[in-house]
Amino acid sequence: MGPAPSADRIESMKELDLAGTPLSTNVRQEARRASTRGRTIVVTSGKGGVGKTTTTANLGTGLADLGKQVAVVDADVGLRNLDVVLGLENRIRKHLLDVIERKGTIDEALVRDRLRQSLFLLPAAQNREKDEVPQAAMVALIQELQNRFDFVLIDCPAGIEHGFRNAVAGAAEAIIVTTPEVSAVRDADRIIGLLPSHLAPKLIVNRVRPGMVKEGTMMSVDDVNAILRLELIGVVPDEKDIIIATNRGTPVIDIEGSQTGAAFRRIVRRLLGEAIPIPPFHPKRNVVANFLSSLGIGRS
Amino acid sequence: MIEFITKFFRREEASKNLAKERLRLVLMSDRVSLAPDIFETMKVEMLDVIRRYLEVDERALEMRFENAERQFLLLANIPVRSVLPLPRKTTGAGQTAGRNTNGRANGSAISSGDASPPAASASADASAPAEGPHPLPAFGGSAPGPGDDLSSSKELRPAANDAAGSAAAAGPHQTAKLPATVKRRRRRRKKVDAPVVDTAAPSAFGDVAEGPRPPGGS
Repeated sequence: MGPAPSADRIESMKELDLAGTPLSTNVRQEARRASTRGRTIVVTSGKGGVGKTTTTANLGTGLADLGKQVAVVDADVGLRNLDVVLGLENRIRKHLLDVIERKGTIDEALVRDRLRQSLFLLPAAQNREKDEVPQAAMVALIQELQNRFDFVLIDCPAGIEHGFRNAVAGAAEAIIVTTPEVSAVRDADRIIGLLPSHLAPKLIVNRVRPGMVKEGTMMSVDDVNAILRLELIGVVPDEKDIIIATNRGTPVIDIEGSQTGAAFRRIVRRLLGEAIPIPPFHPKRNVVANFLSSLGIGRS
Repeated sequence: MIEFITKFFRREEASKNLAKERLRLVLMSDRVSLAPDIFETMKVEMLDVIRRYLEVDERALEMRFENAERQFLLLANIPVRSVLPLPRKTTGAGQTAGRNTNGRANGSAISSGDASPPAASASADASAPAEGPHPLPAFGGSAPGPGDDLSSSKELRPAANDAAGSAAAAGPHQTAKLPATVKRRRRRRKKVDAPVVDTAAPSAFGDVAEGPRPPGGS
């Protein structure tokens, strides 16, 4: 169970309402905006399927576990998935476009996590298209969330088009997720070139298979970052835990003993400024043991 | 059994290096195409050097990068109208330019006979630049505008004069050759495959690990 939001937070959530009066006219809220502004981080990659959504979900969960007020925003309008990864797909009432079009309030759209009181999801519209989201409205929405939460994590859609620009527009920081594959690194390089430089992107290398790296059949993290040259904030090993977690609709962080989950927890603490070294990953078992265990022989 | 499995997995051992190499090439090409302004600057600077030695048809010039097998090439297709007189002490660039034109570094050695077929095709090129006899350069901004058509032949003369002037400064006796050079408006096209960019290339287009990133914020 995560920590409950402070009374001040709850109060601010009640009174701040995008559908109400324009915020810029409200002096009190302006004052609060200046004092409690949270961090807005876009999680992006260029290429699809490298783990943006999983990363967003797990970082959000991990931050909430450390007592932070967190909103995770699904900016992938038309192809939303953050709800499913967090297991919140059945609780969605309103979505991001409803809020932007004043068909609902932020509070109606925000879905509270099942386990963590301080983690909220702002779901994307599923039956709409990315072009329908005006950039100015998106920026205003993110600013709004920034006033109410310590962290706003934006799950960026794949691609470099409208959806990407929208997701990036409101963010002050960026996390680039890539995998040690030619296509993913290439797209990451492209994305880095497109990001406004003030976002100072940090790198997560996802789906690393230590065994393959050792064999020389996969690029190492150093190989990848020799090309991208970003601040490395995390290395996430590829494990089957992640599939199991997604099947269940729980973040992999909640799976006991998972190396992947532990890697995400470390990234969370690095995000908060702790200097935690990136540990070397060792293959759990060698190829032979894997082969034997797939036949049902040996330890599982 | 263990040996067999190990062998099976060892077969792909080189694939990591293959991935790195392919990435290196594809990123060089990506980055250079994302920074057309840098490319344009480089082209202008290269032309400045070439113009010291050759009178070239700038409208028909093509320069582009190409991703070849295991090589990233800068391909230049520069129609040469004539070779300007060179100073006695030729630089490396001068030698290259001379060799590509007629196998001689000395402009006065060109005979008129061997140049007629290229000259014929060149005049066809010059007559219809707007129809696009040459593929447009791969990088934007270098295609000739319609306004260039009338002035271009005149434009080239001052350039030739400038080049000849600098050559004259080096050796006064060569000024005498200038009128002949300008009159002889032969054009020929020669492909210059210059792997300017390779692993040890200049930083702006060179090794991806060291080259500067194209400016962000688009």
